[in-house]
Amino acid sequence: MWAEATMTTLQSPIPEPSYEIDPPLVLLAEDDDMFRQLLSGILRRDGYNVLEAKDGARLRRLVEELLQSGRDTRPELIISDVRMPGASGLGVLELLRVYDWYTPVILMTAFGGPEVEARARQLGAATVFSKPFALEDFRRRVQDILPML
Amino acid sequence: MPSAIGRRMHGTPHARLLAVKLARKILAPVVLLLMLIVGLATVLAVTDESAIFEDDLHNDHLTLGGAVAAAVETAGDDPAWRERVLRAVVAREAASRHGEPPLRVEIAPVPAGVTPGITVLRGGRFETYVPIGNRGSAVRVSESKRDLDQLQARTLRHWLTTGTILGLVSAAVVLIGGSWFLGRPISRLAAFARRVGAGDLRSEESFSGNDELSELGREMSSMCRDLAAAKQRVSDEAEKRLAAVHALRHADRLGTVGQLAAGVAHELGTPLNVVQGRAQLILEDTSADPETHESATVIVDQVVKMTRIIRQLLDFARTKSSDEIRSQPFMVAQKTLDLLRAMAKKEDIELSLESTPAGREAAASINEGLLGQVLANLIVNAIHASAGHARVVSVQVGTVMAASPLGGEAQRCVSVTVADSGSGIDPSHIDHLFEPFFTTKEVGKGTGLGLSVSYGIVRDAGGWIEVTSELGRGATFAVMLPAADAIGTRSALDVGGGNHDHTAIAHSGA
Repeated sequence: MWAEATMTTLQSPIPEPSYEIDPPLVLLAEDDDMFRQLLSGILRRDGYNVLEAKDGARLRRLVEELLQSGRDTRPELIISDVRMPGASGLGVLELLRVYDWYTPVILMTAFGGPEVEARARQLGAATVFSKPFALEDFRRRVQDILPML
Repeated sequence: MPSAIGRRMHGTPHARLLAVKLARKILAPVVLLLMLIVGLATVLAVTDESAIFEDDLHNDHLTLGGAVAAAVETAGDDPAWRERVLRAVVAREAASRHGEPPLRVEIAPVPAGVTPGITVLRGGRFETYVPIGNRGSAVRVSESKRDLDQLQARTLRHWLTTGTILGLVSAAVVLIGGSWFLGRPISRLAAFARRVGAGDLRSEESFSGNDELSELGREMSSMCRDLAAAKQRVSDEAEKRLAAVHALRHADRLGTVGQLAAGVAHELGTPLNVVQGRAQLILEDTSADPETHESATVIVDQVVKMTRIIRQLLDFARTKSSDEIRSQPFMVAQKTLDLLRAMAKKEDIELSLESTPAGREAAASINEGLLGQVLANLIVNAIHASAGHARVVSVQVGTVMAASPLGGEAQRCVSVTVADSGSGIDPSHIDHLFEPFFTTKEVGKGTGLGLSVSYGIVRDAGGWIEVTSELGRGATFAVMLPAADAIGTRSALDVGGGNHDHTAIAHSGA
């Protein structure tokens, strides 16, 4: 009884704390519609919020907005293709790194050479996936970087 | 006569004709000169003989006339005495001369206008008057001119006979000598010139004499040697240049194909990933029926296969290997052979490895793994080519001085040759061997990328691959790699420079 009352007292003045945390936001840039839909579908199924950019120019604009926005609306992971119309994934990564060294980035490249990989690592990319890659590996890597609680 | 000489001569009809013409040209002035000399000699001889004859005749007449005149004078005016004296003289004279023609001695008055003691020709006879005392009469000695005519005719005949014989002999000498000393060497020269004209600059012809024709021949011979040497130099040069152009064009084509392949590969990466991803989603779906599952598995497998092919293609197109290190080709060959022995055994083929002492120690600037890939590729090809044909695939490692087919100085190279005595390569295939997707293996047995990838790897190490083959007799692939001195003693810059040049050449036409 007492216990119940206490409980009530505790509950009433302070709003019940929500354990529902917004799912982490992932920014996904890929110019191939089919592939982007495939990846975003998998990410959503795994519980992530996905913000999609269908080419390099859109990715660039989103990153610029992101740099000015508050911490809670920022994506926590950026996944981008390297070769896209508008801007290259590497170029956007370079731009990002001028202001922000912390947001993890996964790059995807179709048979990219060692040069692309070396540059990506210099810029602190978490992973460079060489297309075609197994979706299992991709999911595992995303989970490692941005664990779902 | 000329035709007889012509037949005896060797050489060509043209040269024979030339020699006879030349001899004739020489012959004409010689005979003309001879005739002139003989003619002059004849005239002189006849004149001389005539003068001597006339002199003798004159003296004889004076002697005889003087004797008769003295006798007549001594006999006085007795006609009978006179007659006896004259008869005695005439009989003796007639007997002493050649019988005919009659020499006539008579007493006659000296005709007007005739000087006694001088021999004159009157009415076809030589007459000499010798006065008898001073009685106004004289002894007339007269003789026929026929003797002189005969003498002149005889002299003329002698000289003409001599002249004719001399002319014929000299003509023969000139013609035979001309054909021997001119025709023979000229026909040799002509034949020589004809061979040279036909392009045979190597024909040797010795001209041993010391005359002008032999000298001409020797000059021609030495000219031919010089020409042959020059021609050889030119053709060597042209051949080298042609080979370099051929190699350049080949490298260029491979470079273009490589770039094209890289572009295609990049385009294919994403769609392949979509296919693979979708198939994987189906595999994860537990509600899907087994048949769908089976299909999804096949799709994933095939995408993996495609991915491997595209990766190989990109390996070929890639211009620089990131971690270039030194390796010992002999050691690499040993390891590769160890790996492949089991496979070879299955085909009942023995792999042999030989090396020269220098080859065993030699090093090259190439990544060990990449070189291993190249050798494995060549050996596997050799095993496939040998299956059912031969029992041995032999690998030999050595060092050799060689120049790249792209041109440049000869340099010390490590050569690794993989030789089989299998089915050999069709000559029309040799040029395409290193092109991506070129394969002679049956569908499904090879991708046609192995050799092009090997080519790319060796090219990036500054080397090249040489192929020799005879259809049905097997093939030999020689991997030529610039030798690096002992491992670690040479700066990597040397090799880097070489690579840079090479890349520049390979891409110059792209």
